[in-house]
Amino acid sequence: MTLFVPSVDRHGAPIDQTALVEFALRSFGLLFRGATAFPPGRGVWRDDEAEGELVFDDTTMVLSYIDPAILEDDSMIEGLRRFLHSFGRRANQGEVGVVIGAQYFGIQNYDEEEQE
Amino acid sequence: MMAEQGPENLAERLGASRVVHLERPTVGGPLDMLGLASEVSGRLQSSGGRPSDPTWQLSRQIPFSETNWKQLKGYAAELSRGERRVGPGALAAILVERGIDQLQNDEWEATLAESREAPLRTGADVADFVGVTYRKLSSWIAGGLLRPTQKTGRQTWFGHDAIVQATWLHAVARGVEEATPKLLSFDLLASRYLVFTDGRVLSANSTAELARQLEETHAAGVLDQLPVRKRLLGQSQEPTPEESHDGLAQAI
Repeated sequence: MTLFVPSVDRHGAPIDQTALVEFALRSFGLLFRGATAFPPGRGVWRDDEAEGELVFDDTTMVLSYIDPAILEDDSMIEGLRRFLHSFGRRANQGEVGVVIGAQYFGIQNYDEEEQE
Repeated sequence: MMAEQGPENLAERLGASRVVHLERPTVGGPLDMLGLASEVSGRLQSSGGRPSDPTWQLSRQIPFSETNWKQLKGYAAELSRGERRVGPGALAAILVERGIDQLQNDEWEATLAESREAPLRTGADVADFVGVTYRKLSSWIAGGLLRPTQKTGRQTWFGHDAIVQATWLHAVARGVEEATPKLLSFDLLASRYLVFTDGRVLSANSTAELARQLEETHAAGVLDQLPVRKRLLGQSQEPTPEESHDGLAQAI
C-alpha cells in the first residue's frame, strides 16, 4: 500500500508535511505493523474543481507491505477509511491518493469528522 | 467479519471517488526493488547450500549476454542482505516467472476486453451455450439470479459477462445436485481441500496437489477446511485491540 503525502494544500499553500508523514506512519504502524516514508519527489496534481489549476509540490510516499487478508477485515478497512478521510481534511486536499496492490483509489469527498 | 472482495467494493468501503487500474509492477525503481526484495526474501531458502525456491524442480542452462548477466549480478548484490545471499541465477528465475505471469495476464486482459466488446446473444442462444433449457434460464432471470444485458421489446439479450455468470450458476447448481451426497463421506474429512469439478468432488492435502488438480480439471470451486477448524479451536488470528481501528482511533 502506498500513500502520497503532499507538501501543499489544494490551493498551493504549504502544509506541515512532516507532521502528516508522522501521522501516516503512526496510523500504518498501528494498522499494518510497519511502514516506510521515502524522501520527497517533485509532483503535480490537476485540481478539476478549481478550473484545472495545476498544483505542484514535493510529494512523499509512505509505503507499507500488507497481508492481502487484511483487506477482508472490515474493522481494518474502517480504520483505514477513518485515517484517509481524516488525512484529507487535515491536509486540505482536493484528493487523497492511495495505491493498494495494482489499484489507485482517489478519495475526494471526506466523511464528516467524528466527535471524539 | 469478511466482506465481498474486488476493487470497486473496496473503493466503496474506502469512500473513494475513483479507481485507476494500474499496470502490474515491474522492476524499474526503488519501490519495485523493495517489492522484489520482499518476494525474494519470502521465497529463497537455504539448507546450507545456495539459496533456492523449494518449488523449483528443474535445472536448465540458459544463455545470457555479458551485459545482462552483469546487471543480474548487480541487482542480486543489492537484494542480498545480512545472511540472505541472492544469486544472479535465482534472481533470473524469479524474473522469468514474473515475465510468464505478465504474458498470461496480458492474454487474460486482451481476451476479457475482446469478450466484453462482442455482440449480444439471444436467450435461446445462451441457454444452448450453457447447456440448460430456456425455461431454466428464464427461472434464473425471474428469480433475480441472472440479469439480461439489454431488453428490446420482449426480446432479452446477453453479453459475455452475463453468459459467464450463467455458466457459473449452472456449474454451482449441478455441483450442489451431484456433489452433496459425496460431501457427507467421512473419508473426505481427512483431506484439507475439496475441489468441485463437473459434479465430482476431489480431495487434496497440499497446495501442490491442489494446484495440480486445478490445472488438470475444470474446477468450479475449492473448499479449505483449515480456517473452519482453526476458528473452532479458537486459533484464528484476531487483531489485538492495539492493532485494530480502535487503537488507531485513540491515536488520531
